[in-house]
Amino acid sequence: MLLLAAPVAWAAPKDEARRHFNMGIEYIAAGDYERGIAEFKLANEILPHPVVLYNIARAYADIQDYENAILYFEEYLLTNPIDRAEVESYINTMRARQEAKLAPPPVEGGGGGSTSGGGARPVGPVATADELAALQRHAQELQALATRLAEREQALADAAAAAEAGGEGGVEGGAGGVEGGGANLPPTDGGDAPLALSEKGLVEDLYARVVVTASRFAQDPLTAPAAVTIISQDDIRMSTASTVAELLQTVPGLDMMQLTAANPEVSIRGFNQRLSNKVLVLVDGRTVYMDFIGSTLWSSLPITLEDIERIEIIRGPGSAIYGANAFGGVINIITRAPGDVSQQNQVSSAGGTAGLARGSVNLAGRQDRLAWKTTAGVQQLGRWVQDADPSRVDLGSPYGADASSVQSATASAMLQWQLSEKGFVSVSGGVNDGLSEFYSLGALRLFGIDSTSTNARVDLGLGPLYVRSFYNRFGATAQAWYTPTSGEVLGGDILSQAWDTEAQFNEAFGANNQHVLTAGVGFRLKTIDWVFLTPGVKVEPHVNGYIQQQSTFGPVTLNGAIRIDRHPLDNVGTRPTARLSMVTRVGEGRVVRLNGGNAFRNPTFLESYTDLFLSTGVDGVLVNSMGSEVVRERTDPNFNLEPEKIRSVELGFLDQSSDSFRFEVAAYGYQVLDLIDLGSVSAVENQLDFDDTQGAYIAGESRFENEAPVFWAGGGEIEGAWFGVPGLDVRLNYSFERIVSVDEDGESTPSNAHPTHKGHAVVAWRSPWDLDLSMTVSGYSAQSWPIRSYDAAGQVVVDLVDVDAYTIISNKLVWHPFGYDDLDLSASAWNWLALLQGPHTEYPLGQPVGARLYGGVAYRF
Amino acid sequence: MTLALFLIAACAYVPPIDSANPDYPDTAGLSGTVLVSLSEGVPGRGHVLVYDVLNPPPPSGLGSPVDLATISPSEFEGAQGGVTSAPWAIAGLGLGTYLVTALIDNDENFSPFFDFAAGATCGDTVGAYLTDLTTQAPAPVVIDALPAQIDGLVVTAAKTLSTERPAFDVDGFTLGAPAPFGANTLSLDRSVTDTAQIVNLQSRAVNHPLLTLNGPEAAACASSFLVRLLDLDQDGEVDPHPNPSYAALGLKDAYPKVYLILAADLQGNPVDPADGRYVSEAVVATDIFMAPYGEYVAGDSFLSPSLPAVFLPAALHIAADGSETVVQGADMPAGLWATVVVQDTGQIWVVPNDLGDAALAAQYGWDLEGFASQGPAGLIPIQ
Repeated sequence: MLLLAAPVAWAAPKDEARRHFNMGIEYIAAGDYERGIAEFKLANEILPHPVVLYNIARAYADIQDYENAILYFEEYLLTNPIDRAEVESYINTMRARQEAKLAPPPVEGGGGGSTSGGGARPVGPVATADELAALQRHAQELQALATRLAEREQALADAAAAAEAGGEGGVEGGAGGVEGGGANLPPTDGGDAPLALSEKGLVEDLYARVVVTASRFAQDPLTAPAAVTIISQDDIRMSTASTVAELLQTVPGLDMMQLTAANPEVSIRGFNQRLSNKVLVLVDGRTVYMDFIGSTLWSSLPITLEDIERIEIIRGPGSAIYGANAFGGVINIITRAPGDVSQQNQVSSAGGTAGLARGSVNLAGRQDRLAWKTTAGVQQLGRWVQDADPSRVDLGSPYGADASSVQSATASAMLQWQLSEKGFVSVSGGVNDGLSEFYSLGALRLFGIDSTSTNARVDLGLGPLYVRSFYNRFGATAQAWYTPTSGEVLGGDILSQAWDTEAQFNEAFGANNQHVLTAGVGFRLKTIDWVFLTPGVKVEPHVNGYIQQQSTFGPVTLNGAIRIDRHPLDNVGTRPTARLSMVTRVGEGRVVRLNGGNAFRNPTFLESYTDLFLSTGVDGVLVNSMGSEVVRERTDPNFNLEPEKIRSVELGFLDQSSDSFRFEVAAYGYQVLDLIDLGSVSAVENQLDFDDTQGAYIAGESRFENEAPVFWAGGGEIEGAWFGVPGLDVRLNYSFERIVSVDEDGESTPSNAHPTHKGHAVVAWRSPWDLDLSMTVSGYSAQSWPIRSYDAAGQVVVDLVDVDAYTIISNKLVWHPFGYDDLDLSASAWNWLALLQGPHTEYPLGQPVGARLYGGVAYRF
Repeated sequence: MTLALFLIAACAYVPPIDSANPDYPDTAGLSGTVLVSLSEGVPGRGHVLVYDVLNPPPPSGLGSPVDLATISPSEFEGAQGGVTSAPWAIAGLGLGTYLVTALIDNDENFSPFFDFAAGATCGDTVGAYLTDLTTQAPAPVVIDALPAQIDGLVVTAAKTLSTERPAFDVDGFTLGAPAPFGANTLSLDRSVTDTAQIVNLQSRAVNHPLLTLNGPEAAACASSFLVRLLDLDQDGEVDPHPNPSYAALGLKDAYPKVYLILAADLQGNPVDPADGRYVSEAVVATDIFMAPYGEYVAGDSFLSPSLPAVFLPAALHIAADGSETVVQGADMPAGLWATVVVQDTGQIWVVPNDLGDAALAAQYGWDLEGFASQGPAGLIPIQ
């Protein structure tokens, strides 16, 4: 059997599987069943899928090879499909036909033929010993394969159901799930009439890319109303990345800068900063945006790399779909579906230089309709540098000299019960506990954050209705990493909590489901208790509602979305956002996309309620940093802090016409207004007052305020992927961006606080010798960052600090001594150029970024 | 095995030190205890002030503190009316030699932000880190290497002031004789070397939202000049001025010290700090106190509502690099000069000061009326 053929080399399994599957479809459509079945089997070997098994069985049935048809249908049944009864009935029919064919000719008049004991003895083909041995061997192999497939299948079914219900947890290939109509077999007649098979077997483009984040429902990127990048699990497997953020490094248009090993800052299409706050990050659709600082603490996410099924990156504003904070884009980290063992249970660990040590366990399984998964992991990344000598007598640190940049443990679990074909309920939760370092805002520098991040979640899918409710809790103690021996330790406890409930309706209708209506409402209650803010727990209830309609008319697909978000603070109030896109098919697999819209970012708790007293360099004199609500309460009732706003227009072209390559180009223009930052220090009234609470004099105050200049940004990305040679995957992309600020007098100033040019090349090769190789090269042009500080008079002073151009080169070697699905031994060299040229800096205040050399072992079972 | 080695490498990792990180420069820290001795009551807000020894505080210099630590009254522990103490700490100092003083603001009218409020007033308790109790002179704290941390410095504040700060107006003057007060016809001539030019200062009351000082007529804590006719050698005679040139003119050594500091050119353009400082001492005319009345003797201290000082057309130029040069006569720059009065209690007053700052008055809604003489109008022109 082809299943036993020599391993086929591949590096982008999905793309190669897709190519073989589509070729199989074409052969069978042309009546060439033998070659069609062979292509199906290759596809299934590369990326097993129950529907492929079904298709193989169906093809055999079509040519009345019932023995093989039954074999593959039985494999299919081992995946525990929902249409089990129908398929069993189908198998019975085929067995009956087989028996009918094998039965001896009727005995006429009792004569003829030999008899024994008066009973009729069947006469027919008898399998040879070799054939029997081969069948037995096949059966064992298939049994092993089927065991894995059984669990994967349920996961796919669950995920597909979730995707249909609009859940962002939908997985690629969901359209080929097993929820299709059952096989309505004709009565067993023992004849040779063609069997009436389920239409499921005709599912095309089984391995097609599917994106669920762009529109909140599963769709082909060809119809997505935004530029989308997908990082698959195979990309992750061949990557040298040690963190989620490092995985994002090669995404076109995305800016990822490492301030510390634990502190990446991520933005999309510019406007990156310390505590980057313009990208909405989701884990299975659950926001992990930290409302109190407006950023994502990547090191506190309760996920392991091995648990990630894929990551979808949506470039461009997304508030019309996701509300506030989807300013520059959306990153949705989609973890494995429960019961999904297609990526197999796995134990892995790694260790190496720069203090890297990791380990994880990922388990999943299912029992009938109950699917589960769990993951647990530990991670340690050493600090690139120690910002100060730990033996210094004038400085102290609460974290000790040997503290890592991040040291954390995480665990999560999920249970899902399949209520029906399109109904499910799931309960999940996770926890991450650890210490990490990060650079804070303004004059604050390196901080340590000792945190416990937990979440609990319930999802309910009932056909077109999807309801999700979750609770996020982030408890931490954050302190300045270094404090003068004679000074006060700046920092304190944080308790951030959020309760979020969303209900979404998603229904396709019309001819060929040409219309898709999506509508939803949501409620979010956020609280924060933090020593940096005014005393007491802050509570903010938020409500939202949105509606989206996607309709296809001939070659044109229109998508319009409107959303309204209600913020409890008057200066934010009710904010409408909209997005409109038109995708025009200009050829098979080729589209031109034009879209535009607006988005906004809410002021964070920090920007609204800060009441923080910072050193001026004179120990007894402090400056009060104030959030907007504090200013309104104390000094200026009319003070207004507007949300940050963005308006966008984008033109893109996507070519997916070939199974061997993919090409996309996008150009955009942005207008960005009301960016929020800390302003100059102004003298407080009655400076004679001594602040007994602070034990100091208060020299002045600075406020979070909207910057006056309007920013204009323009740029584009061009990316291509080529996987025309088995085993070889080549991806290239280049991004360009220019940003200028225009002040109130109309004077424009270019901004170079981002790499104007950046490019990435990823080459992965799965050789025929159980060795996989990958190489990633990333290049970034020089930058010039405005670093704000205060002069002696307390006025904001902006110094431009250059960051040199830099290149990151990484390589990975993976060896599978016992085959692909068993044991992996790997050696990785991340940013090894630093060993030759020295570490580079990605942000003026960031630590130098060095190399990591590490080895890893992963065992799948 | 390999993985085990890698894991060991991970655990044994010691990150390199970024010793050049500008965010965490090597510094020195000081810490210790403030001991406050009060005959009654409880301490007010405590202040520990650190001065560069090259720019010492009054009365030995005109320096401003390089750092300031504050202590809330609640931090003082000890018996009421006795000795109380509280910890203090200063961070972020560089190399140098420092003097550490204490000011306990018992009447809570100190502010580091306004020059007219940034000093000890009557009723405040002052002191210093001392090693020689006989001289009561602040002891130097030497930081000759960084990083450094010096702990255990005990700053003793035991002297509660009974005199007020010497707030004053500059009056007009005539050559060779005390000027009639009130005539703002002031102008000094740097070319006149053969005739004494007298600057008269008149003590004044201050009634400002941020600071109240009693007038010179007050029975206690009058804002008068505390005149002290020095007789350090205790020979019964007022000591000659320590500057031999001035002593040769018959000038005596006395407090307050009066200094003129170049503030602007004659058109009012502020001096460029890069050009250094010009400081001229106007010597208190002790004879004016002693000759007409005769009752004052060497070593006496007494309050006077006015303070005549003799201007001599000479100044010390302190360049930006610290070098010092004496300039005389026409070599003195013409310009507008500020007046500083330093009492031997360490209390000082400067004219002009923030009381007369029209911009500040407008910003804070202060009433400028009555304080115009504390502003630029108080600058003394030297032609």
